[in-house]
Amino acid sequence: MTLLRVRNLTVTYPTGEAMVRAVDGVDLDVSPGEVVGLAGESGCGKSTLALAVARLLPRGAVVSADEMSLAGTDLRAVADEELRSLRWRRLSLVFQGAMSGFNPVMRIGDQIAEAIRTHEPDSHRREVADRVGDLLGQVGIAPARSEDFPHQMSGGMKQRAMIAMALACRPDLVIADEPTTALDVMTQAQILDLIRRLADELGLAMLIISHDLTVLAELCDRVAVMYAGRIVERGAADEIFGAAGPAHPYTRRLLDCYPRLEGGQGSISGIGGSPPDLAHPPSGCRFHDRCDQVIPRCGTDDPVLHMVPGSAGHLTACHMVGATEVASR
Amino acid sequence: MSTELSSAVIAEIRNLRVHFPVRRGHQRLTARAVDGIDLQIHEGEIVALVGESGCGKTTVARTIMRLQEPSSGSVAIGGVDITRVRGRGLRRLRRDFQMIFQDPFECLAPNSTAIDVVTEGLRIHRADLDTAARRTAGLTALEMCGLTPAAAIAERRIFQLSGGQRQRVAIAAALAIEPRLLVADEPVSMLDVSLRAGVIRVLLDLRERLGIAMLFITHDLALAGVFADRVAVLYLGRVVEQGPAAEVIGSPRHPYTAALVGVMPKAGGGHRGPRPILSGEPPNATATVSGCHFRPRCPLYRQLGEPELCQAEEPALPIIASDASVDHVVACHFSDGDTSTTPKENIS
Repeated sequence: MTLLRVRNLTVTYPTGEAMVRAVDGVDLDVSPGEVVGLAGESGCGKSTLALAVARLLPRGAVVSADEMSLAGTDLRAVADEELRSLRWRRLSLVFQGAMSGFNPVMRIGDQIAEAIRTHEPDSHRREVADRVGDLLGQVGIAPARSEDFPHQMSGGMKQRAMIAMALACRPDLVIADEPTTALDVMTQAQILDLIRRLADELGLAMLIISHDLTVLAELCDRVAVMYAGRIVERGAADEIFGAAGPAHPYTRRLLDCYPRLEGGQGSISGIGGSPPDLAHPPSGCRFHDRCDQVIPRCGTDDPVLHMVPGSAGHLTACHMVGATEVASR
Repeated sequence: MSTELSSAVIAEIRNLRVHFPVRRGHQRLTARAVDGIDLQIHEGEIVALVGESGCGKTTVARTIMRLQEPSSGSVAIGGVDITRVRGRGLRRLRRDFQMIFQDPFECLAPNSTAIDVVTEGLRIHRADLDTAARRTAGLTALEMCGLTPAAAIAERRIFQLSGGQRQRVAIAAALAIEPRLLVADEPVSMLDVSLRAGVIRVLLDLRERLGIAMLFITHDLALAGVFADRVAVLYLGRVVEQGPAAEVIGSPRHPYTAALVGVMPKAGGGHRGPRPILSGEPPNATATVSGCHFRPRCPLYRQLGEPELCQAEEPALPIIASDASVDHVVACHFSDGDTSTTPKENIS
């Protein structure tokens, strides 16, 4: 069963002279116990997509979607006053640099307890304290540390405490925007293991947003790659990062940006040019002016997501990949 | 890639210590951020300093830049001990060592133009040049950093530039003064991966053309492995392993380096499963540990049945002769994993 279902989501920001389509006709599914990754460069629309799902977009952003639902609840139709109960209890967010999201003069445990009491006002003080201890235990922090102030914890510990707080009201879905970006390798590995364990043990659904494909490759069941507001490739992580490799040239080039030790300095490569201006998107494939495998069609025809031949549910939006059956975009 | 062993030593750090006083309640403690580091950087050489947050890598950089006073030890750049110089003399010396910072969104004044940023250093250090000559030098620096057409980019204001472009402006500003040593503290970690290569290529190109030596501080081990000539791994303010970059990252000998390399996400992806995550919290520079400082987290120590030697004696990094900077050395009693013999002698 699908927990989060998004169909044909478009988010437009009106700017001075033009409309900027930050997200342009995106489909996304997340099932319980599944970790789904959303990858892409800065400005590709991945954070906008997450904010749209959580109904946290700034005023002025125009959202349209054929469907946007969480376990049957139509997220588009939720009234503003119901949002409070929806967030935290059904869906919670962990933001980038969440470590600085704690109140510096309040004990960690009290901040997590506050989240619980706000949403469950009838709960007992004792019971809440026990739950805070359990939550911290779940993310590998000794319950006694709930007495700590944020400055007494290390960065990785604060990030774990933030994840504990996101779990406070037992949500179905946790959206994490760059959960490991500001952390160093060892701490990052701890957080990734924690996320994986929570999904496996609690059946939690997770949507992980990251610019780091290698992190998503290790962590996720399924991955979607966004470019200029659209999903250009989607499929099982094992398939995209497996032997055959990504089907879309953009994903391939993005993956090549990670240096390989055996390749030496020659393996340091980037992607020339910069992502298109979304106020004036180019015609045809949005990646065509940075792509190294263009055919004339790429400049005129907009490719739709279609099945990669011989795969199970691996979709790509590239003219160069054999188009047999056409799925919805 | 080979290191020119015959080239001159540009920077020589000797037994550097930087200690900070820390108060915890009524306790007065000492945080040993940098605790006895020896490091040499040769002309045209790129040395990467890697390690977790709090291992002291940024403190080393700040001390080299004289943004931080050392507690003891010396930092010589071009043969002059910069820790003893102040005032005008220091300002003159600063021409020789420049730094680029991590965040190109915060280290440049958003409303100044690119050429303002690049020529600012020239105004201080090259008072002999007139405005036109400074501008020419600034444009050359922008061009060298891949910001073309330089004349057009020069007039753009910083807020109009992308992150990658800003970082190149920062590099151009450091470069315009023609330093002999460039200290780069995580210069690409704030940038999108697709833009990192562009900045890295600029740095490699500068080394090639101008022979600038670089101290590259990063926590990205894969990048350190391919970009640098030599890597020094820091743990609790000490170098625990040092050697040719590809060798240290490709076949690490210290259990700490091995652990870092082990948890590095692989570009091949798809390798889920147990990873050798170090237990315990990140190192605490105020704690006093007898013997090896890595012992409380060391998997090898536990695997070997907690040998007494690790508790009694702190393993030292073998001294490297100045003409043998490509030696791969390690500060570990048992880096061979050989339990039966006496501690390993590090003879390379």
